[in-house]
Amino acid sequence: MATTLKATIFIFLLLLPFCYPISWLALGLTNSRLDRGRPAVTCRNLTGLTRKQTRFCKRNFELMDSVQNAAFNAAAECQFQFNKRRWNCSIIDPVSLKVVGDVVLRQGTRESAFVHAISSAAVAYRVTRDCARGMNDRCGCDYSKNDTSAQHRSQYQYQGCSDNVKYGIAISREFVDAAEQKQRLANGTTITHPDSVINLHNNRAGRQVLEKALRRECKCHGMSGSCEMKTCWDSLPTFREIGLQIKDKFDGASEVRVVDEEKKGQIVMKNSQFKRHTNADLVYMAPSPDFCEADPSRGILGTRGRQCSLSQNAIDDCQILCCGRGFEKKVELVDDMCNCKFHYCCRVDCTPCKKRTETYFCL
Amino acid sequence: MRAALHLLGLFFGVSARDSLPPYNWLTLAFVGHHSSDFRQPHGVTDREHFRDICRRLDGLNPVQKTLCAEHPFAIPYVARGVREAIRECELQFKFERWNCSSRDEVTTTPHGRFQDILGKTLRATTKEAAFLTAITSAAIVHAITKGCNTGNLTECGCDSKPGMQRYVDTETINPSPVSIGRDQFSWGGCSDNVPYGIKFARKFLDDWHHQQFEEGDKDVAHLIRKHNNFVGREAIAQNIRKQCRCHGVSGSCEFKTCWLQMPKFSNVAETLKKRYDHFSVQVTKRANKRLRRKERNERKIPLRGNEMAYVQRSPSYCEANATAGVLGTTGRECRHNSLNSDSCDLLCCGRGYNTRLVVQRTQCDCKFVWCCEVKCKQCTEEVSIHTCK
Repeated sequence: MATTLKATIFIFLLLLPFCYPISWLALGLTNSRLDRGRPAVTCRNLTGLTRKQTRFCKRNFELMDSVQNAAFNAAAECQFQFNKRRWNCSIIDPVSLKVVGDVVLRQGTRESAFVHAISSAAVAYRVTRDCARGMNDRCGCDYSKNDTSAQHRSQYQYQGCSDNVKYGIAISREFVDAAEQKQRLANGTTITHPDSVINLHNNRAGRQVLEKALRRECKCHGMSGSCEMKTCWDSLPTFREIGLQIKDKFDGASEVRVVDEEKKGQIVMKNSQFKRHTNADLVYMAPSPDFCEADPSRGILGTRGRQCSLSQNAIDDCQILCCGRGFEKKVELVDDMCNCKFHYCCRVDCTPCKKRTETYFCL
Repeated sequence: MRAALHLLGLFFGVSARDSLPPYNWLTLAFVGHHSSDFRQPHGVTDREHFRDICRRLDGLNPVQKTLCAEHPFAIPYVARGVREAIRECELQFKFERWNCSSRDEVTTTPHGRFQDILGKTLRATTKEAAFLTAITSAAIVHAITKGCNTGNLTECGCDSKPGMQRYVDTETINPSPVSIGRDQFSWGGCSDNVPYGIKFARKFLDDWHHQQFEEGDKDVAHLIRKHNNFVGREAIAQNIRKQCRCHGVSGSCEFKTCWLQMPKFSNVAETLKKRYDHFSVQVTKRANKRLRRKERNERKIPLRGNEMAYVQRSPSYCEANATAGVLGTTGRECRHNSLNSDSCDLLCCGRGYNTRLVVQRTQCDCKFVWCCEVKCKQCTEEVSIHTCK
C-alpha cells in the first residue's frame, strides 16, 4: 500500500505544473499596474499564480494591489534581514521575473520556512493596513472592540480605527495557502504533500506574528489634553518589526519530519530531546546547503564578490562569508570636504580633500 | 570521549613518538598545589631529587627545567598561577566564539600522559594566543609575588624598598580635604614584592625565546611571545597601588604608614581583555631586531606595553577544525535576547539554535521560624536553554 502511494506521488510530482508554491512573489516585480478594466484577462496573465490563486484574483480583484505590494514588501524585507548572510535572499530573477532558488522553494529548508512566513505575513499586513486606510471598499476598520460597556468606560474607550487584522489574515490564508496544491490520487482521494504541510504551518506561523504584535495606542482628549477622555485603537507595528520577529523565529526554527496519519500529515520533532514546536514556531525538514559556491541549477548564487567585514564578531565576517576562500581589499580615495567652517552669515567654507576607504570583497 | 582521546593519544604515541611533545608550559596546570613531589624531602635538600622531577615535566623547555631545579618550591605557585590564568581566561571569553578552549591532543610519553592543553592556540600567532600568553605571564608574576608575601618561598619576602617601584598614588589623583598638607607617611607593613615576581617570570618565560632568537632562529613568534609576556607583566606593574592606614589620636592621620599592593588577578584579567579588544596590533611577518607594525605609515612607532602583538588574523572559530584545534560553536549555550557576542545570532554563526526545556528546582517562599530554622517551599520552573546547531 505504502509503496503504491509513494509511486503515485512520484508520478504526480512529474505532472506538476511548473509553479512553485512561492512563485507568486514575482508579482512584486511586475512594474505594470493592474488593468482595472479587464480583471479576468489581467489575472490570467499574471505570472506565478496557481489556478486557485487566479480564481482568487478574479473574485477579489480590488485586493490585488495590496497583494502585489505585499509581494514586493516581503522580498525587500527578506533581503534586508539576510543582507549580511551567505544566502542573501536573492529569490527573484529581476530579468525573467521568475522566482529562482530551487533549494529555497522546494526542499523544506529553513530559508524556505522564512520566505513562506514572511510572505504570508506580508499579505496579511498589507491588506490590513490598506483596509484601515480606506483603500478598499470591502473592508474598513475593526470596530468589534469598540464596546460601550461600562467596564472600560471610566478608563478609555475603543473608538478609533483599529487595524482589522482578522480580515487581513483571512485574506492571506485564502490567497497564500492557495499556492499549496493538494494532490489527487488515482483512487480519487486527495492528500497533502509533506512539503505542503510544512509550508502551510510556516504560513500560519508568519500570520500569527501579526496577531501577537497588535498594540494598543491611545490619544488623550479634554482640556489641554488632560486625558479626561481617551480614545484607543489597536495598531500594527512597522513591517520591519514583523520582519525582525520572524527572523528571530528563523534562528530558533525546529527540525521536524512529517508522518502520515490518516492521510493528514502530522509534524513531529526530529529530535525528541528538544522542545516541541508550537504553532508559532517555524519548522523545516531539510538541512540547508552552505550556499558557498554558485550553483545556478539550484538557485544558489554563491558568495564570490560579496562585500564582507573584518570585525571578528560579526555575521558578515570575511572568514564566514567567504567560506575560507579569502578576500581582497579595495582601497579607494574618495573626494571629501575637510576643515569646514561656518561664516556668519551664511556661508560654509571647506577645503576639498581625499578620504581613504577600505572595503573587502570575497574571492 | 575521554577514551577516544586516549586512543588518539596512543595512536600518535606510536607513530610520532620519536619527537618529543611540543613545549607547552601550561601543562604545569596539572601539577597539584599539594603535590608531594615538590615538598622538601626529610633531612637534607636533595638537589638530585628535584632535578629528576623537573626533567619529567615534559612541557617545559630546557631553560624552564633548569629554573625548576633551582627553585623547586616556586613551581607549585607557577602551577597555581597557570590554573588561575586559564580560569580567568574562560571567564573573560565565556560569551565569545572562542571561549578559551581548544582541542587538546593527548600523547603518551615515557613520563606519562601528556595533554597539550590549549597548545594549538598558544603556538599560533593570533590575537587569542597573544591574550593567552599575556594572561599566563601576568599570572606567574601574581602567583610568585603572592608566594613571597606569604613567606612560603624562601628566596624572597616582602619588598624592603617599595619606594623604588612604580605605583599609582590614589590620594594624589583625588585628594580628600583632610589629607591635604599631611602627606607625611612612612613605608610599613608588607609591600608586594612585584619586582621579584617580574624577574622570575621574565626568566621563566622570556629567556628561552631570547636565546632561540639570538642563536639564529629568526622566527618572529619568539619576539611576539616576548612582547606579549611583557604586556602581561605590565598589566600588573602599571596598576600597583599605595594603600595607607592612618594613625594618631582617633585615627586623625597625624602620620600614616603605607604599603604597596598589586591589583587583584580578576582585575588584571579584565585589563588584559580590554587590551585584547582595543589594543591589539598586527605586526609584520618578518623581523630582524624588533617587532614592526604592519600598518605602513606607523612602522616607526614602537609597540607599547599595553599593546598586544599578533601576526595571523584569527579564524572565525565557528566551525570545528581539528588541525587548528578549534572546537567550533556547535552545542554552545547562547542567549536569545542578547545584542552582544553571546546572542544566538552571532554565537551560532547564523546556523540557528535548538531549544530544550529544563525543569529547575529552586527554594522559594522561605520563612524564618522561631527559633531557629528556615522553612522553604520547593518551586519548579521551566527554563528554556538554547544551544547552537
